[in-house]
This record gives sequence, C-alpha cells and structure tokens, in this order.
Amino acid sequence: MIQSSYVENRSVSFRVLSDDQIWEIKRAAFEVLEKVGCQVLHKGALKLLKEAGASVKDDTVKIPQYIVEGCLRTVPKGFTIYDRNGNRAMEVEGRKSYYGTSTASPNTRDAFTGQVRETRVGDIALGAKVADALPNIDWVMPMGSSQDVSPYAADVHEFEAVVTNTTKPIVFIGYTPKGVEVVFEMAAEVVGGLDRLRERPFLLLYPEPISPLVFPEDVIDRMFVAADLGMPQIPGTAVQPGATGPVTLAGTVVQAIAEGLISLVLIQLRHPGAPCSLSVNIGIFDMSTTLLVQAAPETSLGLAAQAEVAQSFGLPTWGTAGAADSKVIDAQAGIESTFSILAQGLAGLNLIHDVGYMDRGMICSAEMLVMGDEVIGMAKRFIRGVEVNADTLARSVIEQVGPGGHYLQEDHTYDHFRDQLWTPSLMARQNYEDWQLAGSKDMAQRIHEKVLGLIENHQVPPLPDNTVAALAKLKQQGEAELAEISG
Amino acid sequence: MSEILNAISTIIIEGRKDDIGKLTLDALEGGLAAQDILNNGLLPGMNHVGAEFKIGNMFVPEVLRSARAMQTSMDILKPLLAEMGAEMAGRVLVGTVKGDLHDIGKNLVGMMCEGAGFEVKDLGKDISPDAFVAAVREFEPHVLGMSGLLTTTMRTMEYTINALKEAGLRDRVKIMIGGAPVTQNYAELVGADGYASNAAAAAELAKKFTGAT
Repeated sequence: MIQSSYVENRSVSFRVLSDDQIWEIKRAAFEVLEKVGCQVLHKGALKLLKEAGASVKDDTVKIPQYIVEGCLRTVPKGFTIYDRNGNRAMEVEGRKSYYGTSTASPNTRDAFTGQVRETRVGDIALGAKVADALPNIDWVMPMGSSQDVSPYAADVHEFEAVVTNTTKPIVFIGYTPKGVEVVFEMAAEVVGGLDRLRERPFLLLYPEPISPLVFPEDVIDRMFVAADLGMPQIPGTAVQPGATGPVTLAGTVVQAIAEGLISLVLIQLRHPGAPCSLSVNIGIFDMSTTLLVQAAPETSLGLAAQAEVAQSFGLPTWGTAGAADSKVIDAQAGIESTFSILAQGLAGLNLIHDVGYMDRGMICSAEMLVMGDEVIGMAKRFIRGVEVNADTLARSVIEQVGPGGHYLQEDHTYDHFRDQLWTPSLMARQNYEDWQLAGSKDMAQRIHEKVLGLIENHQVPPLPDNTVAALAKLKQQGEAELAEISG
Repeated sequence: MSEILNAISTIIIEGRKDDIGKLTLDALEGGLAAQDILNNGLLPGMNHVGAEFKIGNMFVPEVLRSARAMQTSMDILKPLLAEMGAEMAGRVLVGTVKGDLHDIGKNLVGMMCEGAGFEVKDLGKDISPDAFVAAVREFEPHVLGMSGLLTTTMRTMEYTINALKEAGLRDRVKIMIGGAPVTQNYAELVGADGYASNAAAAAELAKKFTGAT
C-alpha cells in the first residue's frame, strides 16, 4: 500500500500567534532598537557597535535593522549540546524541547528533613545527582546559590559540585566574568582540552542583562568570555510585565525580542558565528504582594508567544516551567508546576528551565524536581500525540475481537501497551483499601520516599581520579584569583 | 467643612490627581489650614488605600495613582506647612548598592514611602558607600533604604554602614535593607536596623522607625 501526502503523526499542535501578529511584533521590536535604543555600559561593546554602524551617544545605542539582519545571518540557527562523556544529548533548535532544573535560590528545601534553610554547596551536589537519576530531566543547573562560600567563589564550587554528580549537560549563570573563565577552564579539563570542549560543548552560559534595555558591564564581559571561546550561551533578561516591561503581553514580547536581539548583536559582533539563543524570562510582578512570582499563567503564555517570534527567526529558545510559588509540596505546587510544564512543552521552547523551584524561586527542592519529572512524563505522552497508521487503526484487530470480545490477550495489546499507556511512578491508582494498606500516603510522602531512594541508590559514573584532583586544584586557584579580584 | 475634607479623601482613594489640585486650593481658600488638609483629608485617604491594599482589594498601580494624587496636593501644601513650622514628614533616602543596576523594587519602595507621606530622595543605582554617606550628610534622612539583588555586591551594604559609623552619622539615621537575597539574619549581621521583604513592608518599617502610624 502507498498513501501519498499522508502525515502519520503531527504530534499535538499548538499556536498562540498568527503570522501577522508575529510580523507586527517584529516590526515593533526593530523600531525599539532603532528609535528607543538601549543602554550599553561597556566601552568595548560601545566601540564594536559604533564600528558596525550603530548610533552611539554616550552609553545610549540605537541599532538600525540592517545591522541586526547581518548578525542574524552569522548566528547559527541552532546548536548541538553533548553530555559530559561526549555523547550527543540535545539538539537545541526548532521546537525540540528539553527540560532542566531550577537554579540560584538563596534557600533550599532539605531533601531529607523538609526544612527550608540557606543553600549550601552540598545541596547543589545532591540536586545534580537527583537530576541525573530522573529520566525526564535533560539538563542541569546548579540547584541553588551557595551561601556557605564567598559569593565570588560560588561559580567554581557549584560547577565542581554539578559536574561530579551528573553526566548531563549543564547551564550556569556565572556570578563574575572571571568566574565564568575559570568554569570554562574546569569544563575543558573534564573533556580533555578547550578544543574538545568547543567541539562537543556540554555546558552553556546564561548571562542576564536588565530590563528594560540595560546591558551592564559585567554581564557583557561574561557574554564576551563565552563568545570568544565560541561556547554556546543563553542570554536573557527577566521582564516583569507592568514593572520592567509593558503590562500587555504583546508589548512585553516586543521588548523581550528587542533585548534578545541586542544580546545577539553583541555576541555576533564580538565573534561572528558564536552560538546563542533568542531568549528571555518573563516573571510576573504580583500587583498585590509586590513580589516577583514564577507560576503565573501569563509567564507560560508570554514565553510561548516569544518562542513563536524567535522560531520565526529560526533561533533557539529558552523557557520556564515546573516552578511553584508555593512554600510546600502541596496542591498549589502541583497545579503550578503542571500547568507550566504542559504549556511550555506545547509551545516548543528548546531549553525549559526551573523544574524544582518553590516559593517564587527562593527555594530549590529535589522533591519538587522529582514531582516535575513525573509531570513531564505525562506532558511528553500527551504531546507525542496520536499516530494514525494501519497498525494503530487496528482495523483487523477490531475485526478479530468482534462485538463483546476483549483485547487483553491480543498480540497487538502486548506489542503496544507500554508505548501507548504512560506508566506513573508516583500516582496512587490502586483502590482505596489498598491505598490504606500501603500506609495512606499522600503525594508529598510518596515523593519524599522516591527522592530518598534515588539519593541512596543512584550511581553517577565518577570522573577519573586525576580529573577530580585537577578540578579541585583549578577550583582552589580560581577561588584565590577571584578573592584577589574582589578585594 | 468636613465635606471638603471627605471629598479630598475620596479623590485620593480614587487616585484622581487632576482633580485634587483645585480641591486643595478650594479647601485653603475656604479657611482650612494646610496641616488640617494633610491630617484630615490626605492621610485618611492614603490610610484607607493602605488598608485596602493590605487585604488585596487594591493593587499597586492603583496605590501609586493615589500616591501621585497625594503628591500633587502636597506640592501645594508643602510651602505652607514649612511656613507654619509644621512637623514635616519624615525623610527617606533610597538607593541600589554599588555594582548593582537592579532597581524596580527600590523604585517601588520610594513610591510607597511617598504615598505614606514621606519626603523621598532616590539616589538611583550603583551607589557607593561614599555616595551614600555624602547623601546622608546632605539630605539628613530619618531612614536610609539600601537595595540589592546580586549576592556579589550585597556586602557593600555592610561597607556603607561602616562608612556611616566612621563619618559619625550612623546614629542619625535608621537603616533598612532589602532585595531578593537579603534576609533578616543578614540585616542583623551587617548592623542594619531592619529588613523588609517587600515594598509595602518597607514603607511600614519606615513609618515604624519614625514613630508615624
């Protein structure tokens, strides 16, 4: 049989913006670049921009569209990320989605006791290990901001903690430009040199300029470190509608695209061809508590819209999902993380971070990560969609079973059930009495047991001893250099 | 005459800054003292706004509108209050610390303190300890608020507090600090007088520091 022009599986389809709307947003973004401009607080960057033809008055830069278009030509339309062992791990392009952990929280929910306390490097290590064990977590960020080391040295401690506890790709923020340099040195040590690291990058930098339209010196310094090395990066402001961006989401997306394009231009002018994404964070400024929250539906919606604009440029994207504003592992946490995980998966953002966040991003939690992993499993099953072909239509099977028959013993059922029916690891599906007999445990308790099991049983392939020693040495040296610089 | 004061309170609550100027002048022309208009017209309005905000019936953009209306009226009243030698509202100085350019939280703190009746001077961002000291010396605030988002530059809060000690100014001002990585513990550690976890709490703390309620 042949069947021309037939699509067996289009996976679940989802669109927020029409082509016309995308066009409008892009027009507006280019106008912002040309007429509003941005503040660039970096002498080297100002020089690059001026030489490229931008209008530079003091530290205000206005960038005509043709310069951006030139940079859009040199930027790669996607890049491949490897794991610590040099295996292909993620194709960061198009609508291929990969979920990653949360990061940078001053506090941690202790995986053993449930206590909320200041983050320590040990939490970063544990978080990486749990992330390594979870099938639906594809990449890892340091799950917290260590409070038990000097803030200047945090980079090197956190990188060491993560890279020794997972083989999965890593995204890191970089607290200082020098810190970023040292982390790249340490990463090179792990894979056997800078050339190898460039060939098969297993880590990405995440530098964050400030909305609206402000590019601080140390942020650009960090971008340039990564750009010079040809290492991929995810530059992204954090726009808060109504506070640091327009309250209307279309306007927020316009500003986000403008800011993303400025980062892209900076990176391309510095090093044409350096990989980067067109990315942003959208955090909601809660108009009641005056605090930044992570779990509003507008975040998912705004990012989905931004992604479609970025995709129309053919560029990689960055999303946020799995985060809760809740302070405990409860119904609010479940609702918040599930909503965003499904919404962002549907929107096709490439690197979707923040699984594991609680309390508006002030807490990272291995348990939250475990719950998020489960939800991602559900989302994956859903988004995979419905394959329609001769086998799945099962016409001959239906004929065979006939009216009043059953399917339980059919070969067809045996062949397909694992793939068709999602297997939960945390959901209580047994009957009520059996649930009682098993201890009447609620979701939080079941998650707790699972995380303890993972911590106890999961084995991360260790790095060779000499690599571990070399990393420790680089860390110490780096710490000393950073202490000197910070004064 | 309480009618006009009620009207002023209502206009504050509704945030109608274009209407309040005329009503303020009418009230003055009608013989009401500036202090009376402030205490029995403006402040009751803002207090109601504050109470409504606290229970979630009013939101930041509305509160700021009301604060703007109050400022508009205060611009008319201030010279008269000064003339009478009236107790001026407290003065609050705010800034984001050196090395940090994040300021949305600080901006909101400034605006909410204005709404609470304070005179606010906002130094902006990237403010060094020396600049804070100079500003404290010049502006003579009752309250100094320092804001920071970055863990790498938080410690300049401590440097600033020490610099104020060295300059002999520490006792003249109450210091509050805030920002995402800042905590009550940290505030105590560096010798601040207080910590606020959000803008409304900061305005409340400023009121507490100056004995206003």
